[in-house]
Amino acid sequence: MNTNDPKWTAYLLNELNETDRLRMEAEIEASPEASAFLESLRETADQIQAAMNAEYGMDAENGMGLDGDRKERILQAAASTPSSPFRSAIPALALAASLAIAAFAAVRFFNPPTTPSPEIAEVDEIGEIPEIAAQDSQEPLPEISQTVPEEEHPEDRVTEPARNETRTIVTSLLERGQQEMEAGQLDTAKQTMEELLGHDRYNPDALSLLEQIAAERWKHISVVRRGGIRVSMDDDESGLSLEKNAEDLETEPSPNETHAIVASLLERGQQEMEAGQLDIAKKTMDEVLGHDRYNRDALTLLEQIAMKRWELVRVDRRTSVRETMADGEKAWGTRVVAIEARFLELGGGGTGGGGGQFWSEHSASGEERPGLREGRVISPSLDDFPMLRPNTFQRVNDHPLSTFSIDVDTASYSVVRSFLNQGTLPPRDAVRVEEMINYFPYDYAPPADGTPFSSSMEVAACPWNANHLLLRIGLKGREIPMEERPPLNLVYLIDVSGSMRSPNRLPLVKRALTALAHQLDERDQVAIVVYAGATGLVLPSTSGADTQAILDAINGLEARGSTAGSAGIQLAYKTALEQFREGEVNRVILCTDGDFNVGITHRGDLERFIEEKAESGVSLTVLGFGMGNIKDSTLEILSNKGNGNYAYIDDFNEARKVLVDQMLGTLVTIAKDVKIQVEFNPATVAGYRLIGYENRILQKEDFNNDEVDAGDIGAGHTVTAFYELVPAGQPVPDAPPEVDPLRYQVEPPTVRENEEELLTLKLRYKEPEGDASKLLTFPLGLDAVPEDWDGQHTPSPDFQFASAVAAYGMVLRDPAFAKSMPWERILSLAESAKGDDPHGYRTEFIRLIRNAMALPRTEGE
Amino acid sequence: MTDEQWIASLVDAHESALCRYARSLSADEATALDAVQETFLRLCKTKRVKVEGHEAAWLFRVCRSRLVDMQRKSKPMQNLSIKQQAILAAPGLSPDAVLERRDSEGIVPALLKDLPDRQREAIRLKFQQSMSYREIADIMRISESNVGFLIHTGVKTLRDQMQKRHRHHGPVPSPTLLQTGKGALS
Repeated sequence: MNTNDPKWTAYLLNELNETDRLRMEAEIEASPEASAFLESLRETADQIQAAMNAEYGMDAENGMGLDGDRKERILQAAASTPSSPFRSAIPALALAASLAIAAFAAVRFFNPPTTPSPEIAEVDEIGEIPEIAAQDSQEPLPEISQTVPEEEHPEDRVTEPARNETRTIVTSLLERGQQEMEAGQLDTAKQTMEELLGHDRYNPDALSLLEQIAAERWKHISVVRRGGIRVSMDDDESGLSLEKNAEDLETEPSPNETHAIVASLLERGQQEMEAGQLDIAKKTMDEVLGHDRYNRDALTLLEQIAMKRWELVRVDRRTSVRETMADGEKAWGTRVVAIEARFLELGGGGTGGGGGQFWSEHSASGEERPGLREGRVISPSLDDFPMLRPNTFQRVNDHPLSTFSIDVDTASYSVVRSFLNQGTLPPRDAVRVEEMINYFPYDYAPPADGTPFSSSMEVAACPWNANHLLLRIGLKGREIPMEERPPLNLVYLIDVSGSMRSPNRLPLVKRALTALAHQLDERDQVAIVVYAGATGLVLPSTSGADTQAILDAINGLEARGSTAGSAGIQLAYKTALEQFREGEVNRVILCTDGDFNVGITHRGDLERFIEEKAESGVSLTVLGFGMGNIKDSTLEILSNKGNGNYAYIDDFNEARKVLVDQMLGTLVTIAKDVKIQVEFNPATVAGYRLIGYENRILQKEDFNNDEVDAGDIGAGHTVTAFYELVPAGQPVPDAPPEVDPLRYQVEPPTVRENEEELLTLKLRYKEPEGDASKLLTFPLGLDAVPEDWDGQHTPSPDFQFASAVAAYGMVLRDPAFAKSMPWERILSLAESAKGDDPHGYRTEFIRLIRNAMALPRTEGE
Repeated sequence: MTDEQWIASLVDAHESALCRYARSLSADEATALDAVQETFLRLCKTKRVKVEGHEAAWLFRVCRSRLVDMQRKSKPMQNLSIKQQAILAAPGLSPDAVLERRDSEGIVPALLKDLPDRQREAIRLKFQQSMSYREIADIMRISESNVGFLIHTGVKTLRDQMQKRHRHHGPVPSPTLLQTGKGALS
């Protein structure tokens, strides 16, 4: 018997719905223990009632109300109120009637609904029951009480949330919730988080914790299921037992009717879900969200639906692998609807970068975002990984130029890895193929001349289409020996909000920064800024040689409070500018799980701020930690705006790779705004497609426009891009249909017959301190294509390995691609090209291929 | 009934309950009374049809959000914990005085005072205002299931504490007990 279940008191107070009430009565009937417990609760409730009545009576007697002045002013205001046609007099009779019923209502709740209430008269004598009752004329009339929550007073809501009062509450609830979750009390933790959302309903920490709770629960359920026991997914959501009001569905709902509609839809949705009609239930919930887009009950139910679907998916996996992946993705999509809603709240109409295009397409910039109401929120397979449309093939005749910005981020690979390590396929939009390829260092020749980076190209048969060629473009940044590196002036900006407490967040941040601290010396300066509920400078600018002081500051960090990212960022940049030294590395390193409190700064403002500061010469490195993989796009965009890079640190090995092994690549920029433009020769190439870089595509005009920002390359970094080429004379697959011949324009006489060249590679970059770009041009002759490219030719190991990574990413993005490139071939390609692998990165990749291969087959068992 | 009479009747019916409610949420008396006053002034400006039928819920909700709003404006940097606020809300009560009050008022009010604020708030709305879980949820801006949780936890805490007392000291005579005509604790 769980005496902590609120149903006991709810029963006592007549707050249970019919089903639960009957169930409860059966339980009381059957169990003397339950009956005794209930009896003791009832006695307590009686005493509380008596105390409350007494208190009220005392107040009234002692004139505890308003003082004369205040009262006078109210009555004056009342007198001067102009008569309004909307005001109607209450018939005196009705008022009297409601008073009488209310007097009954005041006492009925501490009697169970099934027994008569002999105490009425007695209670009536003590308290000031008639007065109490008069305040509450609606209580006994169910059809009126039902209308209560319907009425929305937008002007009342304006005053919410009250941040100062709620912040402390929120903080303490968050801490409690986390403790509860750690103690395995999922239901309690969930309730705590719900309470928190009552104060701050988009609190990112709470939403992320709810996510974790859901994940925990899901884990638990799948374990139990394996034992053959069915666990009810539905916990005590008594909020779903609301009256049905079906006839309202037909009419266009006024704000006042919405609540009733929502209530009935919720009830229907739950019944549907219980009946296993998941698709229908989901539609019903989508409808609810159409009325009330952040309705928590609906979001919870959607989460449950998604979890159920996962269950089914797992069972079905053995029979249909492909279906599984599609469904799993749907489930993922719905599970994160809440987060997505929060993202939109963040001001989704961001510019540029990963999400920009997508969000600006789908959300209006105004408050209302009508697109959202129309069901934007309900779209599946969307979360904080904004949708990427894979690049399609282009005809060289129509689009001879292909332009993009380099991307040295590696986060996508570690995000994918952490999904696979948890036994889940990543959502497809979390897979950015170019970041996966660029996760690995390749052995390209370093630049010999004075240029900051070298470039090289290699052509071979395309592993997944024997008729096509694959072109690899490789850039390699200048290596800088450690002793010649420029001094580093670093500001660590560390998120210490409550959500950072779990082991793979703040504790990992500390380990990572400790490792970095050991790399620093007297040339360097370090300052540490933390942000959470409050922002502070934990360590003022300190010499890199004073390792102990830095370590003490790092070790003293503790996770607490909620996140207010923007104030922290301002302080961090301010500190960075104070310790700024011309010609050296000046960088802010942001360590976060990505939950920026949006209450203070609109995300657009934040981006503008960072962009502005980037111009002052301070760059930004974003290190994402244990995000529950949610704020990916925000972090990527911030790092792009801040002239920086973004890595996702899922374990200490990753931290070591980014901050120790490749420290200078991460921290020392050797060329910025690096852009690539390729001009294809229609005489030799019919079509092409760029693999990955979907959110880095630039307009052809942007290439020569120095105002347009692009990616930076760090010391020793390698950047790799693949083009799949269709040799001239072959059809271009899936290319958009050709346009009609132009009637008024003269076709340019163009097509210089040049059968000696495939293409020309053009690069633009700026020196780290420079504002004007430099241009490098490299034509690629036909002789670059090996003679027996469609025969026995074996490309370089780096080429093979990188193409295996590309194929891997493409299959994760689109399972259908496995038809062209089965897992087994990806695996053998990667294995054959593993090489020395001094850091073990490639060995790990091979393990990840095996993980992904194993997933669909083993899951259902 | 004219509007004026209607408002006057609402003032009479609710002012003391609202005042106590506001004081339980606020750090100081004046703020609480201001909030109540503002609530009623707001009522004067609101269309009657919007309020009629659920006057109490409307008043309590507006009062709560006024209060919260006023506290934010007046002390932008203040970060009092709930507990601190509760202490400030009851100034000048020495431990002795608290004991004295317990003796005079019976054990239940004293135990109620020891409950977490939100539990007490929910209990007050439920028992003193006879509001439904849903109305309370609406006023406190939390979910209904959460209201149930708060109230149940509060009631159960009280029950447990009274049972503990009963075991240690024997039944405590309580004026409220006598008034309800209920027997001693089981």
